[in-house]
Amino acid sequence: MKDSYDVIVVGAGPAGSTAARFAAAEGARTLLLEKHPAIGYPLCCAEAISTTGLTRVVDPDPRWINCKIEHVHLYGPNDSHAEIYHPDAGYMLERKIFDRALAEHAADAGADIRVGHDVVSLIEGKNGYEGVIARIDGHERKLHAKVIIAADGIESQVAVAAGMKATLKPSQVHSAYQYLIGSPEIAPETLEFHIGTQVAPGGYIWLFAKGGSLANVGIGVCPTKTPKKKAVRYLDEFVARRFRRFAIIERMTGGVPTYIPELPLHKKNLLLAGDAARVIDSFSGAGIANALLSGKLAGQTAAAMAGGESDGKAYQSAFYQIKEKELNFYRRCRQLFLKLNDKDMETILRFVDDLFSGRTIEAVNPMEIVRKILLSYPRLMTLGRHLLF
Amino acid sequence: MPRQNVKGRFSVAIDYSACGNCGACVAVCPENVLHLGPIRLESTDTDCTGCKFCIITCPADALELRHER
Repeated sequence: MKDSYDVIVVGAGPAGSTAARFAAAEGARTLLLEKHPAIGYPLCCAEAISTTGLTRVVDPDPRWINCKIEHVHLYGPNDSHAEIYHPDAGYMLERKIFDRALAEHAADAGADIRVGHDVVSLIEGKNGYEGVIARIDGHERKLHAKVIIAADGIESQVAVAAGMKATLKPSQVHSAYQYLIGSPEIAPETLEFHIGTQVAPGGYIWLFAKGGSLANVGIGVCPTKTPKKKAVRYLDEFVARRFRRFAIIERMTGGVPTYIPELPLHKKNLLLAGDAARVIDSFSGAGIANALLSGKLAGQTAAAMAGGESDGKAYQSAFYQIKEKELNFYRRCRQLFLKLNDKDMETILRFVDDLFSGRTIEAVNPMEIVRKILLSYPRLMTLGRHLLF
Repeated sequence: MPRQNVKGRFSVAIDYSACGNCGACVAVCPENVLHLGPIRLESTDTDCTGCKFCIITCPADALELRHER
């Protein structure tokens, strides 16, 4: 087996496999490494993605799409409820198959793939990193590359090895737990969000229909808001309230990072992508779309770097040119959300209900939003001010 | 008290029946005590300062701080 490449990608999730695909497509000799014996498992994911977030990088394929998302229901304190209809909102993915398909795309583009390779450190050289050290069945092996892409998730060992791990404070992580549930009480093509300081402190509960009678039911909380009572307890309480009949088919835990603006996405010839780069929508915790985009740009840049052109800075600016405003906006949304009390949440939901009630998202015009806020929801002006600086 | 003396007195015990290998604890550990291997979460203990960040962040109640006096 070869041990020298142009580009080595660590981690075969959506970011890593996409990076390997685009690096190989640009002609770079590329190796994709995955520490687990299988790609696509284990997972920590609610599996929803927006249409644009997906189609910007990957063409939808019925093999890994569970269903479309058309309806969004929001439930808040004091029985407040709002419903939004958006016929083109997004898709529910079957991540186990999706991740394998992305690895397949990488292989089709010419990348080598090796599973069971746990990258534990980097080989340092004079002008950057010369490769990685991977542990395989108890043995260590050196693999050399001109450019390294770390797409090894929230727990990124490569970022630790490079001395660029952004250690998150507990308040900067969503502590998450999810069940895959089978129940006849699930509305098709619908996402439900449940908020409230007693329901999910500093976060929300989601119920995402996956087609048939399956759904992902999960919770993310801000751990510092509830240091003693764990996410799993809130979720169990919710499930007992929401369902009369259900079966738990799978359970998973999750740590969802929030975006850290100070964190660079590169160091010398090392590029970070996906959760390892903390490029997450800090408000919803959504990460697949940003993982795909950062993977694509990292892969393309890495191929150019291996050919002696471009640098890590070019990758960072290309990604931020598209995503920086959005990442910062969602970061402010989260900061504001953490300050809301139940009364505020109720007001917001009643406003959203008033605005959308039964209409599609395109039917609402900006002037109407402003007029409604000024006339009926002055409290929202005070809250909204925090989002606009 | 010097830092070296504080270190080594703490360790993190992992309840593998509850741990879901999500890495939330790894992301918040300032001393890189926790490491998510290919099979399961591992704790090296030696550098643990007892900050409890991992315990607060764990979604599943899978971690416990051990303290030897």
